[in-house]
Amino acid sequence: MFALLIASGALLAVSGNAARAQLSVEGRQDAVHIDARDVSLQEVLAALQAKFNLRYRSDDALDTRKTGIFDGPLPRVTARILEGYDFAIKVTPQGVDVLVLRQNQAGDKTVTASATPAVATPKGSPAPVMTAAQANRFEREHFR
Amino acid sequence: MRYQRIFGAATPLLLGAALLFGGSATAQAACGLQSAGNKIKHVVHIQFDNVHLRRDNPNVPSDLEQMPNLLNFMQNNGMVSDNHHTPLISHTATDILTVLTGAYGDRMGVPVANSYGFFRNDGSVGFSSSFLYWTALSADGKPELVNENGKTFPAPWAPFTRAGCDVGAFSIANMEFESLPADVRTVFGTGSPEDVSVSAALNLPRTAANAPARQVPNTDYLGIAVHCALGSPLCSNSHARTDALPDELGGYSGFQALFGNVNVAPVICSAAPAGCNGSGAVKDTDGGVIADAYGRPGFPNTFSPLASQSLGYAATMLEAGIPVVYVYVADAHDRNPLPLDPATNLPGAAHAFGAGEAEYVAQLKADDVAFGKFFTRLAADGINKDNTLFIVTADENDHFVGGAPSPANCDGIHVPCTYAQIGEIDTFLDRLLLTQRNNTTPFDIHFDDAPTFYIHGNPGPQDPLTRTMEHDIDALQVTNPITGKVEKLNAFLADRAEMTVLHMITSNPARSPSFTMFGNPDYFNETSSSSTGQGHGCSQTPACVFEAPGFAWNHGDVQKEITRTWMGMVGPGVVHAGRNDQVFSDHTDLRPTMIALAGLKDDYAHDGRVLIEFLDDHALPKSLRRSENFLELAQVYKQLNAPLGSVGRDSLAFANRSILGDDAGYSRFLATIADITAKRDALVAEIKPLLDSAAFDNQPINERQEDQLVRRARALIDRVADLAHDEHDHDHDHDHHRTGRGLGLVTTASPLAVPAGFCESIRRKYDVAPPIVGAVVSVVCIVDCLGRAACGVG
Repeated sequence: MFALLIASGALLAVSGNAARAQLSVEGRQDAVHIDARDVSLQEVLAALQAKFNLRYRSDDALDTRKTGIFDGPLPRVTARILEGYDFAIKVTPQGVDVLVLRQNQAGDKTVTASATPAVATPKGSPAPVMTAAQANRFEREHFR
Repeated sequence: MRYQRIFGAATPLLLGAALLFGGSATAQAACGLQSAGNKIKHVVHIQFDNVHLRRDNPNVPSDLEQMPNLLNFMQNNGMVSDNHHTPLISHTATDILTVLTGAYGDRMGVPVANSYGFFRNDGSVGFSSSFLYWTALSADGKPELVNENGKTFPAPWAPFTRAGCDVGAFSIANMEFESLPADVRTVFGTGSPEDVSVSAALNLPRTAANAPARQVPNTDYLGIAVHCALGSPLCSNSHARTDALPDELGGYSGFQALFGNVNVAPVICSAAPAGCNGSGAVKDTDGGVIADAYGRPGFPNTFSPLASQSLGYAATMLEAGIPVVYVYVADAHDRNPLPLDPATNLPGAAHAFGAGEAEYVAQLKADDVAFGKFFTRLAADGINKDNTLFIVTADENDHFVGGAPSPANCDGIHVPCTYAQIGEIDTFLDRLLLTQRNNTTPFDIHFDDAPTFYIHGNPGPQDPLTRTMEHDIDALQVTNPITGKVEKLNAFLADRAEMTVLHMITSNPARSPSFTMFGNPDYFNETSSSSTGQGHGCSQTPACVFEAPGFAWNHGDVQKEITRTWMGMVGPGVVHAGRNDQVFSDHTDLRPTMIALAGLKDDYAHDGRVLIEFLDDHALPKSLRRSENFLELAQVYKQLNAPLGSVGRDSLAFANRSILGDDAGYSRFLATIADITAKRDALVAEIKPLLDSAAFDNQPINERQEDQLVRRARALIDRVADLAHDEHDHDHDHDHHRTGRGLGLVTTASPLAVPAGFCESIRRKYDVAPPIVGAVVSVVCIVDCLGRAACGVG
């Protein structure tokens, strides 16, 4: 596993397969832009460490694959890429420290990722349509 | 060191960064409320459902009188007003959302609750719940809280979180998840892991064995949320998600929130472990775990939390450093919680109580104990009336449907009351229309004592289908199964023009009902289904009118006993006025008053105004101190603009009479009410910015401008009053309509004060049901120029 810095904008081709796995980390600490395509969490954190001096520690392999675009301040972006893990972030004037504990375990939460990660569709689907009787039943079961 | 300790821990690692890195037990963001003298450090908003300040039975102490720990706290340290009103319709979701926003339903999108109909393009009708998460899309495809610009109305937590204050919500409407899986999809995404898991549980077969598993998503995700300030330690952990408010004025990016007990409890229990047990479950005020009916910790049940639960969660949130907390407490006149039915393993049938019944009294006692413990616990935490703003209100009052108590002199405290007959009277309006009027026009209604009608095909107000339906609905009469008396179902009809006056028409035309029937409050009106005789006359079973014992407290309607509720405030800047019923207010006034006291500002103009009558001068900007200009303008503004103000009530009487008149008269009404509405809206557009600028921008109100606006407002108020009382004949009953600025020509405290023979003559001439006339302590009669009349309970 290696990471190759291709440009000053921190475009990284990872895992020796630039066509499949790609990582771009750009911006300032308060406006980070990450474009990740099938790269491991460890690679994303390493890139953030290289560019923003983000410090991270973990006993976990951090091999979860990440794909997506993440924008925002460094702590927030870091939190987003750590979805699915228990973690803690410490923000100080010196920088951002991350402690990655482990992946969420079944039982930690009721809702856990399915075995085959579901691809979320865009948010904003309308609520279900009801009939008048269904609406009344919902109201009365709702009790308010 | 902390790293090593955490790595070595064997317990589930759901701790937030607050505990990992924080040095104290709490994890408060830098909350920057800007109250006068920086005295307000916390805001606690307590929203009751149907808890009454007034007595429902003169012998039985009212709900609040049976909760002295709360009532005395408000009366001794602040103020309580009984002259506080709901919007219309007067139903839970609309009322709470009006409180939260300071805006009427026409601007915040939900004037009909707890569900509402909408027209599809083909004229058919669907329904959507009024309870959905703030940013949800309604079933009609528009934002649930659609504002006047078609966007989602600004969120009530935004000014607080922008000021660095975390905001907690427990069971309050639409600030947390209300409906699954819809709200999980809104926030986490359709097909997200949470959606997949929640949907899988909800889709389990409805068997008794599956009941606990089907409840799990509700327990974990419904009813609880924390909206975090930027950089709040409470949201710097894996439980937090983006708090997306894409339509928020001025932008709202970078904020995070915790949704559901599954995400909130680990965080607040880390920050305030004393409020939780050793397993990270939040405790109620009695020390028991807040759990669902099957014992799973989390949201306790279906939006009917006990005071001990709501206040226990609120206290833990406050102790965790969340300075602003909104909580909801269920009413006490329904059995709560409902025991599980052994056959289904689900909560059993609903059961309502009458005033003074032993179980009702016991529930109020338990609520009172909870408030006592709550205030004591907060005081021990240093959270008290000197640094905390408490705002307390009830969404609406309601009307009891049942017979007389036994024994007649019961007081509930020393002598328990029992009721041989109790329960709302249900009707099937479609079958009644078929039977009594041979009207088979297809329609739907929102089931209520104030049903909104949606005539299929969405005909206009002057369409013969609509006009006939309105007249036929008004003509319906039924025999009351409790009293045996024959009575009308309709009290007041409001067409779309009148609903505009009443702030019930949103920016989405599809949500506009054909009309609303504000009905006799003893009745809960429904339409039938294939299993309840749809298409059959009332001579066939099941009956078209029947008493349903599970529910006995009707609301939604316009009557004073429903729409006149109460509010109380305690805290820095609130005067010690005790009980004070002198100031007319409604739910829209609470938001601007709270925001002004907190020294913050909303990004929109409120429909309400700051209640400076109850505030200390030192807590107000200079522009409001001893400002007679503000007071005079604000008070006349409420009578002009509030649905239960003069114009709202009088226009409803005018509308009802005109709708039920002939087509020519109705056309004249439409022209008149359009003119009144345009003038009202123009005046309101001038007054609202002045009131808001005085309250939030320290801009004093110019006396000359105020005088001119008040004069114009009063002229309009008087014009509508005259129209309500008798548009052609108001000279020869001058005294009556000057004293009767209520819902009718004559409003008196006693039937003896009604002109001798008046109602009886009306009854003989126009066949108004005789039992109504003179049989009650207060009578309202409405007469139009054609002599059509109705008398009823005032």
